Amino acid sequence: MLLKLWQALISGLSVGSIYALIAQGYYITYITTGALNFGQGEFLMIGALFGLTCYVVLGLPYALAILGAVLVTGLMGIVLERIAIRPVMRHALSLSWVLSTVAVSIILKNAAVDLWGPEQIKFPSPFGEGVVQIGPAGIFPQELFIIAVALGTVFAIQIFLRRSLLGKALMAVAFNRNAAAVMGINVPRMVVLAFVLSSALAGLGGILIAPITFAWAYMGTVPGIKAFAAAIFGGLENPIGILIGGLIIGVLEQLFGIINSNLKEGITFLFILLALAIRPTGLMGRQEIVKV
Amino acid sequence: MLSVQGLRVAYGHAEALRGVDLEAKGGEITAIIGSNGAGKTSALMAISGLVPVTAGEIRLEGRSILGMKPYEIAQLGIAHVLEGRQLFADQTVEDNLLLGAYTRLPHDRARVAEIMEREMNRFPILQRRRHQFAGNLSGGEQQMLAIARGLMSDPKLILMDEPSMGLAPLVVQEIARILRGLRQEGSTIILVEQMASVALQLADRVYVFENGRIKLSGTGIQLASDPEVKRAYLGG
Repeated sequence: MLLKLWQALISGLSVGSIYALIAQGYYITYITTGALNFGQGEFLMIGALFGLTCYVVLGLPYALAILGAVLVTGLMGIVLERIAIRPVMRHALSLSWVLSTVAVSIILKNAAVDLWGPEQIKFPSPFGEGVVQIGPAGIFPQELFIIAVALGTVFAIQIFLRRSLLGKALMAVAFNRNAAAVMGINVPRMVVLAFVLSSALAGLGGILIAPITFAWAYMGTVPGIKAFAAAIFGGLENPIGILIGGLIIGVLEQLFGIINSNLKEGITFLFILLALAIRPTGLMGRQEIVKV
Repeated sequence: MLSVQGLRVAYGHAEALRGVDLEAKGGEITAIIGSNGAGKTSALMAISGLVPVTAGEIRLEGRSILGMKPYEIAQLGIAHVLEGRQLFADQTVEDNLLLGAYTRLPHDRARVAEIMEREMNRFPILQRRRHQFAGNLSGGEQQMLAIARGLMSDPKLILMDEPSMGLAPLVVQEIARILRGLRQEGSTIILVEQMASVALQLADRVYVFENGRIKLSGTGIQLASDPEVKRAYLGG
């Protein structure tokens, strides 16, 4: 039993850090535009399948395949912003982005079926099929690699946003668009940057997770929803909350999986619903305080 | 420096400006006074490109800036200290100042460091609060930061919207002193001010707005003795 718990914890942290990575993408576009890309899961899928093509078909090293997946999904972020966000964000309260990003996700799924077929494809792990002993359990090295890269990336993004001039400018746009504009910051370009970062994070998540799941056209839907749950659960405007939310959801579903693997999704979402009923702004969401 | 002709701005069917002409000369303080909703803020926002202009012309040093994006206008050297400070509350005082110099970064770091020292000397409180979040400053300190942030780009023209808003009289005096100092340094300022007494005292030239039009204009001294201005805006 202890062995199972230990294994569930490591697997949960690795899946959870993928959720955290995707959810960080939701966070970046939400704070800058108030919109989310509901196709994040499909960007993850493209990252995985394009990575697979680079790694297996073209025989490139895994590191280059990661770079390729990140670049391609990042570029797709530019297109996404241009066709699905900018045209529908004319009004501040517009919610049309919900439909337009879902539409993009459907297009991507169908395109992926055309390009890569509908089957689940094995993504060979770059670290081999063996396991490493950590404590009592055998862990796939890929799982540890995922945790390290995903969490490292989440922290790197935060350092970029808080320390670099470009990141500060992006945060300024997020906080107050007009004030940022009169500073000479090109606001529309910062919005594009937000979608590029967000999409690239999902793409990175895809190529990281593919070796422990499978790569296929429909792989993105569930992680996209879970990452959304993590973002809401953690508090959409709080990057640390989102990180913790992602990890908690990852670990919880693996723990529930020990009890009954058919019920793990259901129980996980039930738990999130209960948590939100108690704290509607999320785990670490800002409680709105009105100053008079 | 800046000339505005026949400026019209509308929000949907509501016209905020109905044909305004004004001129801001280099090295002077040009003040716009008037009651709430007279169109003062709209005039500044039209100049900095934040609201679309429906008709008219805006020229900076003879060159039309109409239809330019706000960031392009900022790059030409127009700084806008927005109404209600509009600081980046979740960033530090120093980062707010850095963002004020965004048009000079990253290529002109040495100059920006110099300007930052200059502004820290002008507003010593900012030096002490340098690493605090802008949102944690008092109202007066926030206004100082907003002005300093506007000055960080070394602008040709500063648009200043209601710097006295919500501040204690002593702080208002401090701000007036700073504006006077800026004028002595040769800065060109367009000042929108609800407190007409402050504006008339500081300004070389004053425009009185009413319902989106210019009702009166003249030098500060002329208008301060105008009976209508006295009655309507100076409470006497």
